[in-house]
Amino acid sequence: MPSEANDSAARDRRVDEVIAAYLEAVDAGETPDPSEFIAKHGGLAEELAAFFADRDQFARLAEPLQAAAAIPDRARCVLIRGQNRSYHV
Amino acid sequence: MSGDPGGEDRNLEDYREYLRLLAQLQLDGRLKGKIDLSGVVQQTMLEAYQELPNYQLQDTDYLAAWLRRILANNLTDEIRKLKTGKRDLSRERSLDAALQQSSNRLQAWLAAGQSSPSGHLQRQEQALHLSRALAELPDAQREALVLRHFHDRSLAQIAQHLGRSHAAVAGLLKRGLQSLRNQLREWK
Repeated sequence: MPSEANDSAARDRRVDEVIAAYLEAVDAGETPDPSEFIAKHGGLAEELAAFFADRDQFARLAEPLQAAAAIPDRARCVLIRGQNRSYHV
Repeated sequence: MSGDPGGEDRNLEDYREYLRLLAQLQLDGRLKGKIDLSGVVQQTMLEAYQELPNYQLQDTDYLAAWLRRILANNLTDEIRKLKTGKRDLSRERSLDAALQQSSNRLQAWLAAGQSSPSGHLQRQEQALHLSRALAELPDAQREALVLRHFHDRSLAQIAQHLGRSHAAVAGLLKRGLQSLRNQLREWK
């Protein structure tokens, strides 16, 4: 049993390292293809496929929140005068 | 909307985590721990409960825009207090810059909020649902996800911020997304 737990933990760490390598490539301006990345690390295919699917779903669902938090370009130039508080919509 | 806590007021409470997340997204990361976000959100909720009977809000889009406006004003107030009330902080150049940057961002966000609401009901519900799901995550997982997907931070930046290795941050992102999967299943 301890051996199984150790194997599982080691596998998790390996998955994390591979995901980190993928994200580092993205951050470096590369556009690694997830499917190619999965194929390259075939032994971890299931975990990597789940990560990419989860990430894509999250990105899609987060879009309305990102839009709510975003500042449109036209608003970046607006200077708010005064500090009057108004709650009218 | 009524004062019945089991009635329509429950809808207002649904916005708490949404407001908390938006507040976090508007502030420079260097202000973390300097501004009591929970207090700002609580103040926003209190003002909303007090003012709500005076407004005829047409739908949830308008309600969300109205709440964002109150939140932005309260965050601006907190930044102003921090700027003027704690002179020792103003001597710290990075904090001073963070305060100014957040103040500018809030002004622009406030101006953007004066326009008509951009979402429709389903998108608004989606935002609320995701806010609540994120709030359920362990702090480190939530912070890693927010930094990566909302602040566009690199893995190296997140690792430095959290004091963890790149692989450890990748693990936080992976487990955070896994945890969200079931909660978000209904939105697929």
